[in-house]
Amino acid sequence: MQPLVGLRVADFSRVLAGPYATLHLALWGAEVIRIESTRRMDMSRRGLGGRVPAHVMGQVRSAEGFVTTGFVAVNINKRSCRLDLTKAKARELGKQLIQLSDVVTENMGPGTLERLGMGYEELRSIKPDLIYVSLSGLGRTGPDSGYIAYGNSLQHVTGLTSLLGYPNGTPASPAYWADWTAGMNAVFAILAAVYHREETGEGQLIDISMLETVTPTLAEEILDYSMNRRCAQPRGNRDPRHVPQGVYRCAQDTWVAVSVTTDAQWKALCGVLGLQDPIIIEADSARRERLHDELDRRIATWAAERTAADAVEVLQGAGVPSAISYDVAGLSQDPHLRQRGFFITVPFRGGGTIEICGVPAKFALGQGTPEYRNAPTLGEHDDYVFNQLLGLDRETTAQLVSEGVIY
Amino acid sequence: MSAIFGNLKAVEVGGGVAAPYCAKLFADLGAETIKIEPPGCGDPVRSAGPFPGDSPDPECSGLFHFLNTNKFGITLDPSKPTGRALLRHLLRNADILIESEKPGTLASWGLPPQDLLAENPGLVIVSITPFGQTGPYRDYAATDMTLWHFSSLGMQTFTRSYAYEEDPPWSVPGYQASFASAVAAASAALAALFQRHRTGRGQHIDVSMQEALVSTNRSDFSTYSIEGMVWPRKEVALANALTCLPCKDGYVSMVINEQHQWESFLKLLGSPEWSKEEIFRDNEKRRLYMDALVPLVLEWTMQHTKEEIYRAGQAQRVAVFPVYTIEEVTNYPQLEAREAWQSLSIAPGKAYRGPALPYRNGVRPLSAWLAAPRLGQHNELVFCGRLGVSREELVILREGRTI
Repeated sequence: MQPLVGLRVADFSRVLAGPYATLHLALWGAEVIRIESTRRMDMSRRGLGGRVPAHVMGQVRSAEGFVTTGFVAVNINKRSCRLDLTKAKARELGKQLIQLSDVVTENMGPGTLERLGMGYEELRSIKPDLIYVSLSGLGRTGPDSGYIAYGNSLQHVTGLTSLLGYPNGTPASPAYWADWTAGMNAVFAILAAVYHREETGEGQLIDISMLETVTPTLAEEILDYSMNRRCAQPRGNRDPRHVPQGVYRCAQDTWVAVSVTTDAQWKALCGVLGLQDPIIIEADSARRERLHDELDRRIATWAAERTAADAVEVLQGAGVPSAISYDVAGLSQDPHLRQRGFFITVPFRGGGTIEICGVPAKFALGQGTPEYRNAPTLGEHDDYVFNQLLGLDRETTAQLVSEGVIY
Repeated sequence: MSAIFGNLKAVEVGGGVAAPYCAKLFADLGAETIKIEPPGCGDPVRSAGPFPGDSPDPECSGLFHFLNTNKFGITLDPSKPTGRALLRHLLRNADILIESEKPGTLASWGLPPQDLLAENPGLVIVSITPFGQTGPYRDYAATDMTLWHFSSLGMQTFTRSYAYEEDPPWSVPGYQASFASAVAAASAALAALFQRHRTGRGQHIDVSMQEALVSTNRSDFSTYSIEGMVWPRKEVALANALTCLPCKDGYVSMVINEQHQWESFLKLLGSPEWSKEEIFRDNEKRRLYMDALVPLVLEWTMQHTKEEIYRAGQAQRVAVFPVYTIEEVTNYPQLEAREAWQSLSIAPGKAYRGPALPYRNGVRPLSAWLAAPRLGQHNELVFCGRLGVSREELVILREGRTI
């Protein structure tokens, strides 16, 4: 049995950060119910990746002509019900669902749910032990809390991208990085709050800003500034502590990353490259740094004669940290990830399958075979939520549909 | 709000960034956390720095201090028989073991996970390694940089000024793989504790740093699984052409997905004549004609500082952000208001500002009530006080390099 069986999450979050967090919970056995609406559809249903036609998803309603693969990738094993929260009756039903839930997650922008009468203060009065997790770009408090903050734009204010790219060049950027870090950290915060509730019966509001989930990863640079007023600059693919380090073009348009961290690894690399000059072989890190351009040329020459896969096999055989710089095709063919079963195959109702990345962390004991369900179509679980969980009869739900409450 | 994990006992073995950061997440929320370091030079991060005045001192490494707040520090070599016995004793009463030794090391110490679980059935063991405990790459050498590439994130890291045929995929400096896997490990440990509440049984959790990063490339991976198509880096760059635009004193980035945002943006630019051109009419067209659009936008950005663009842009509800340097981030008023800084006592009489953990309100970390431990600082407390070792034996253990 999976670890989080018994936990129910009312998930108002959309797009990446929130859904990435609740994906972990769903894959670990929690019941995650997305509360969505046709009026304000989660843009990731339509706008993140390739299209999966409706008949393949096995859609129930006509509102969605297709779903995009990015949505599927983040939302398997979750349920979906529809509520148009602009309607009072919908908010009432939402609150009833929340009363049956352990956790509420949202990333609708500070103040949005409050304006709908579904903020933490309001909800805790009907469910005192509720855990309410609010994710936003910059946080619910502070002078910039009202700013428009998508993950792939606000990551630049974290300082991270100022460290990427060539010196004096345009900064590079890892797409959506702040969304992913926010999602990962939210999982911990949610489960810490659940732990606390198990011990004390107390719920709480957790306010997570994407910004602050990136800054701890820059502790080294931030402290260097605090201590020494040194403002870290981009270094391309180099690292003054790991010399030589770089990414080198290989045959067949592949790339190998190499990162030497000890003198012993350097000597091993010299053996691989066939370098014979004893001065170079004995060069310490500081000397290698001065010779870095020359060493890069030597490595590049060697790399160009073989594919990245062959290069890594040889380098790893010699104990040199190295990697194929994969694209997603490479990932898909990676024998290690395949053997570890990291990719989950999920069927479509209309035929065919899709592969999803798992989440990191394998539980060794007592899991059984997890069951995987595809991402929900919009309102796929209306019946489950309104008729089964909330106990409404079918006439009532039909009426609510016609009124546009369940919409 | 009192310390959430006040009744949890954690033990950390392995050094570096991943296991210590995972343990810090528990320590900073009140768990009694014992950090085990090798006798002699201790955790390698002690020599990582940064150091005040660039003066290396294993007790003054900034990164070490950040990662190891609120922990008790002991030295121990579990490969020695007495060392093994002491660790075994310590783990008998622990709730969580966080370890990042090479796969197979615990077994080589005579402490395989199954034995530890047999002696303490409620123990949650979480192992963090570059490629996990099993699989063909299990013993591969890695750094955070190589893992960034092995997880496909190198190809996902783009810049708008790609020299597509020439430039290699980008790395990200520092420890993103270590931090990501540490957070994943901590979350998984909590999930296991949730389960333990019901079953009374612990768990062994296997966290791969590669997987922690691959997990974030899930959208493109799933797209590939259906379409068999890899989005070329050039296309990625084009789709993000408004990222890192040069301005008067640096760079700014904006995301303009919707038409009303575009219109707000044009207001910001003072509704220039060129904006009325047909080729800039909607999102689709603007993507097609990005090469024509960007220079026109640059005409404006190059006349303004990043701060001006940031504030004026956000006032118009445009999702624009400056590319802040580390210096600027450290002085960012929003972070100040969020209490996102922590004072770390790194050198005698000297405290420095470092980042605080990212949770607010309820799940509130303790301030650093214990600075990161000096090497072996709590040997006597733990070995004599907790494990019943006499002072004489302690001396012998030290001489024999067991501690």
